[in-house]
Amino acid sequence: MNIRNIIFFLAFQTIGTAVFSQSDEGDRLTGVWEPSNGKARVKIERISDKYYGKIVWLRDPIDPETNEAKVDKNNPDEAMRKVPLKGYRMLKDFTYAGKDEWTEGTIYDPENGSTYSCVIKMKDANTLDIRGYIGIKTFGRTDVWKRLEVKKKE
Amino acid sequence: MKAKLFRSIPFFVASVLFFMGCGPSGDKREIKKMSIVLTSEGPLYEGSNTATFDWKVDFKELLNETPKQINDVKFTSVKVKLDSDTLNNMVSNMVLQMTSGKLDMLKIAFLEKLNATDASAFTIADKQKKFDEYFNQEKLTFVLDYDLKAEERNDNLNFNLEFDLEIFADF
Repeated sequence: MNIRNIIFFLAFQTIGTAVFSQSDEGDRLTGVWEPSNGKARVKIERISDKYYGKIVWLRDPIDPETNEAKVDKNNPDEAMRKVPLKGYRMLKDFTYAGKDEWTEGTIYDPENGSTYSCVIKMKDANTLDIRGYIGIKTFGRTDVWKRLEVKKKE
Repeated sequence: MKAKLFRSIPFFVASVLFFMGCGPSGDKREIKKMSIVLTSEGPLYEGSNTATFDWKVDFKELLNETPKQINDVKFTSVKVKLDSDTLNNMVSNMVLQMTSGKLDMLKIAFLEKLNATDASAFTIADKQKKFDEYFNQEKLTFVLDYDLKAEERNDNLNFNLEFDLEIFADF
C-alpha cells in the first residue's frame, strides 16, 4: 500500500466516522415523549435520515361526539378525515442540525388541522423544547416535552 | 339576444383556455399493477407499527423510455394483500405515505379494514400536489403505518402493495 492509498483510506475513514457519529447523535431524539398537557404520548423514530413522531397513546381516545376512536376530522383533505389519531404522525421530516437541535420539520395540531414549522431543542436527555411557528421562529409557541422512560445521566 | 351571445363567446373561450392551462402538461402514461412489498421487521408489538420499502425509480424499465422531466403523478388505485389471510383481522388503519431525501413525507392513501380474502382498496388522498417532485428523485421510500391487534409477533410482516399511476412527463 503506497502513501497515497494510506492517505485516501484515512480520509475516507475520518469522513465516514464523522457522518456516522452525526446520525448517531441525532438518534438521541428517538423514544417516547409526553407533551406538557399530558394528552398524548409521541414515539419519535428515524426513517431514512429523518425523524418522525407518531401518537402512540391518547389520554382520551374516544371522541365524545361519535363515541368512537378519535380521527383526524379537521384534516384539510376530506379523503383523509377517517385516519385515526392514534398512530398519527404529528412530527415530520426533522433533520439533526447539530448542537442538540433538530430542524426543518413540521408539527401538526389535530385540534385545528393546521401544520406549523417546528424546531426541536434537547435541553437535557429527558427534556425537549418543541417550538411551533409560522414564518419566523420569534412568532411561535414553545412546549416542553418529557421523555417517558427516563434516561439516567451517563 | 344574439349580441349578448356573441359578447359571451370570448369569455367562454378564455375560460376554456384557462382550464386547459391548469391541467398537467406533457404526455400521459399509465403504469398498471406496479407491485412492491413493504416489510415490517419483527418483533412487532400491539399498537402502531411501520412497514417500509425503498423504491429506486427506474422509468426506463417501467415506461420503456426515460422522461426528461416528470410534470405530474397521480395514484389512481392502491391495493394491499397480506401474505396470509389469517392475519387480516389483526391489521387495521393503514396509512400509506412516501418520503424522499429532503422532501417532506406526504400521505397517499388510507385503509381502515382489510377484506377477508381479496386484495383491499385504499381511499386515495384528494390532494396529490407535488407528487411529481418525488418521482423526479432517484429513490423514494414508501412508509406504511398500521395498527396491530396481536399482542406480539416475532416474525416479519409483509404487505403486498399493488398500485396504478398516471404520469404526465416530457420525453
